[in-house]
Amino acid sequence: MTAFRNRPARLLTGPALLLALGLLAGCNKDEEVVAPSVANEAITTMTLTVTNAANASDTQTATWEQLLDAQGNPVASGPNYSQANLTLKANTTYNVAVGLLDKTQTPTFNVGEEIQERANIHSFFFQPLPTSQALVIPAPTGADTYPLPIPTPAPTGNPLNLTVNRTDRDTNNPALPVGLSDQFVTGAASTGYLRVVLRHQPNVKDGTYAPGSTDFDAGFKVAVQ
Amino acid sequence: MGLGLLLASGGLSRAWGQGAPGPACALSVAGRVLDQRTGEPLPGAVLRLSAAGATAGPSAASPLTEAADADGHYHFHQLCAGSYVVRASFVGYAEQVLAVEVRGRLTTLDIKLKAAPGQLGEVRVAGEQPAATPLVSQSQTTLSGAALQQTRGQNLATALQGITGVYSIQTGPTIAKPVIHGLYGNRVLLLNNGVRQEGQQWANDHAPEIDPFTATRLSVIKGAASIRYGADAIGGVVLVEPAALPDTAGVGGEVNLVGMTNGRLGAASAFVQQAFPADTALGAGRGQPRAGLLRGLSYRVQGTLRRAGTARAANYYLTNTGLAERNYSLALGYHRGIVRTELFFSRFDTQLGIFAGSETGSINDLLAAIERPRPLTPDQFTYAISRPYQAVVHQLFKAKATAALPGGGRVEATYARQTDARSEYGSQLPYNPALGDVPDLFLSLTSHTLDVAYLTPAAGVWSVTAGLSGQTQANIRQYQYLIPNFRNYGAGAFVLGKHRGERLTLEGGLRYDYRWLRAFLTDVTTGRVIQPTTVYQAVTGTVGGLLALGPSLSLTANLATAWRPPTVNELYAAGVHQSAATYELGNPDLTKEQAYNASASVLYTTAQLEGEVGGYVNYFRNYLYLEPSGRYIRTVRGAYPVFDYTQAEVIFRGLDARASYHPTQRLTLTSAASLLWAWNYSANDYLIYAPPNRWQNSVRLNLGGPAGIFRQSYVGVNNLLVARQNRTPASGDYAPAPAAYNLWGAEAGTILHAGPRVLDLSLTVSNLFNREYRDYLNRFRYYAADLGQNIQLRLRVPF
Repeated sequence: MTAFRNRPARLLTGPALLLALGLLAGCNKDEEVVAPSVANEAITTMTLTVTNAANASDTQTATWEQLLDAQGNPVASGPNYSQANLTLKANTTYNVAVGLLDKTQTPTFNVGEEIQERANIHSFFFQPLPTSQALVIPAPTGADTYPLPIPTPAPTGNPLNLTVNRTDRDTNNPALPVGLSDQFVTGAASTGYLRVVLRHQPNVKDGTYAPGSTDFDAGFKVAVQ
Repeated sequence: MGLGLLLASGGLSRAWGQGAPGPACALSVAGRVLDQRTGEPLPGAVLRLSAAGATAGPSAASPLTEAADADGHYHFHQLCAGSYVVRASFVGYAEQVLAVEVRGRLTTLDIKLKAAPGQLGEVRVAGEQPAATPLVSQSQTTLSGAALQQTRGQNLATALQGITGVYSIQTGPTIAKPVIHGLYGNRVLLLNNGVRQEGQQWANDHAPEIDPFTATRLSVIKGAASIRYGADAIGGVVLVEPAALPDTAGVGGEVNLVGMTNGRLGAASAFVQQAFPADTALGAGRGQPRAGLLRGLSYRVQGTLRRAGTARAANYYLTNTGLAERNYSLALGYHRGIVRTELFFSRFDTQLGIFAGSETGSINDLLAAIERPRPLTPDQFTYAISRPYQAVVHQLFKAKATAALPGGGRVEATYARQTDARSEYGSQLPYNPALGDVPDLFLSLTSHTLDVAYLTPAAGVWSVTAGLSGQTQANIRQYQYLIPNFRNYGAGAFVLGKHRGERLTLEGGLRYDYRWLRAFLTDVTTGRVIQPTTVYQAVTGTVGGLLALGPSLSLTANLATAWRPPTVNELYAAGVHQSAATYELGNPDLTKEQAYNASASVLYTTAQLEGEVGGYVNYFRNYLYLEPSGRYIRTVRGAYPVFDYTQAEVIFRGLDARASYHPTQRLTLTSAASLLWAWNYSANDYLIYAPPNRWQNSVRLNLGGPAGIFRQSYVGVNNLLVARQNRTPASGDYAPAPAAYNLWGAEAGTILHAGPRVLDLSLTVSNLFNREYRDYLNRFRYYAADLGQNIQLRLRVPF
């Protein structure tokens, strides 16, 4: 019994030292370095480059943009749609290229090229508004709204005389439209809006809008004259 | 060990000194006989009780003899006060001799026998401390032995779901968190092998990073237990307890295999353990030279592999709900003299697929998903896990030293370091290939905790536990912003006292906690890094009592306060929570949440009937929760409703009732009900995600006689009825609560004896009739139905 008398203290020295070391090791300051916010799947900007099929010099671009703050959330000022305007000639066919950018990255990253790579799981949908036909893209439900500048609810009345045909195809079997390259065909003079939505449809792409989820939703003001 | 024996005999001689005969000889000793390693009951174990020394009563030559019943219970009645010796023996196990002092109406003595392969010699064990229940006046339920065996292969929350008053909040079939009395997340503390589990508990889709195969006991303490465990233990505590390391010589182990049809899940877990007992050479106390350094050493090596593919609802596959888990743990014990040292390391590594149909661009996609009777995702099985998924690696290192003090008390010191690395992979690869296959969110949390506790001898009339604890944590995030980097420091001190009277045990405690939290984040307006700092402190207290009203009836009541500081997400979150389709906004001005908990229960136990009815009230001031703000934020993917973290005055009231009836030795009927009512006074409305009322019933028939190959076989059926949650708030949910559901299950099992080998085999079917249903607390109920039929086969081979 005597042999053990003063042993507790001695036996605990080892563990105590280990503990102290462990606690000291914990005192680095890595948490004080704040990593920048990176959204891996951010798209900030959509550009429509519209070229008259009959006149290559008749070209225009329209841009819709939503920038992000330091925490990756939409900037408080909302989307910038001041350049999201298209003025098209009546009864004309246009070739259209859709561009997507991520301006949160430096240098700006061209997301459009990457969507081309992943064409089999992505699909663009175009919704002219007002329209007299069935909606391709369902109207926002609940508290959701159309992307500005499209008002919610969307205007009714004389339809925007614009037909959009997606001209590119993916490598699914059967091949399905992608929508990075399109043809806009205008009718008689009219005004309205064009909603463009990029859907992410992994393993479920079937040419329809419903499967998958929305990656990007933008609106443009269109005048056919 | 030599010293241990001396101490034990010292205790006995004191007992003799006090052994005055009681006024009435109407006292009882009762308890259970269990396998020390597995916690499984040992029906048929023989108990012999004789009076120790001078006490009047049965002599050692003609002891009272009892046999443990089917659940391992035994009872000795009509005893006089005094000191007794109980000898417990069972074939294949080492006999145990325990001293018991009978003072109150009912003395509870659970006896754990050690398997003794090949040796039936007598082994004396000097008072191995059972896992201390911090408060006797609170309801605690433990799954061990056969009950735990039936949950093998499931995740922690699902394993606990059968316990009255316990529910689980799910995010699809792979992710589940335990809910105790309607509280979850940061209001339920997980204690893994005695260490506070420190992961990213704040989110509903962050499952506990614990391998239940490491445990031989899973316990749930229902009610506020802040007093012993500090902040966060508001709703209750889940204790994941491994078996004690062996201290008898030899190599032993166990292999567990589980196969399930749903998800084609396979799980394999095994451990090997060995001890070089300190007590083989009884010489140490007698001045002989000490034996080799290995004496007193014991170890256990354990590992688990778990793999599942696409889970299936009643009528379709739930795309991308596979999981892959690889875990291991190492334990090393060293027992020399009065000091017992334990080192423990565990690594938990999981990859959890997230149901592909839950990916929504915005509230628009979510509402469309709710409208659909079934998801549009491909209806196929695969073991492959693709995006979206979570990958989590949790590592725990623990060092614990216990010194048994002369006189019977002990001092324990536990240091633990935990790292939790959580990677959440979104639905697609980063667009920029230069970024590589990186997660959308990465959080790395490193925690150090140190706990020191002093416990007086448990045998006396008075016992006291006092302790100090300290903690520091650092969190580092990458990629997305969801929560900021932070550093936190915490400290606490507590004292708990207990007085055991003849019929009444009273206990009370006080605790002080301090918490310092500094976040590091980029201010969105200035672009500079800011360091907001918050400090919280709280005093918590508890009082409770247990009143024995006879050998079979007891009452408990407990009053406790508990608290928790706001978590970083509640203070600083700002962003879209993709799977919930919400935009969550923190509030840096939040204050601590304060809970006042009252609970009472009646426990009735006889050989035929065992029943417990308990009621509780949990009143909160400054209850932290997400309140729908009515505002919306529109991102490029669509609109998200904004939820603000806010505080309210709320109340949870509930009732848990359970009865188990054995009309004959072979038949067991069990019925359990959990009722809950939650109300938000501030909003004058119900609280969201309150578990619906639930009623479970089961019938079990033990087959076979006392001998024969199938002597430990059983069959059973069970039914689970979950009511529709009609008490839901007016706003904040996208779909009404799903309908009530009623699920049947069946089970059968046997223990096969093949020479010295034992094979424990069981078959369980859940959702027997493959009913399609949705559960209110499954956050993916918007997208798909819950799990369909699942046939589970389990095999356990101890060696």
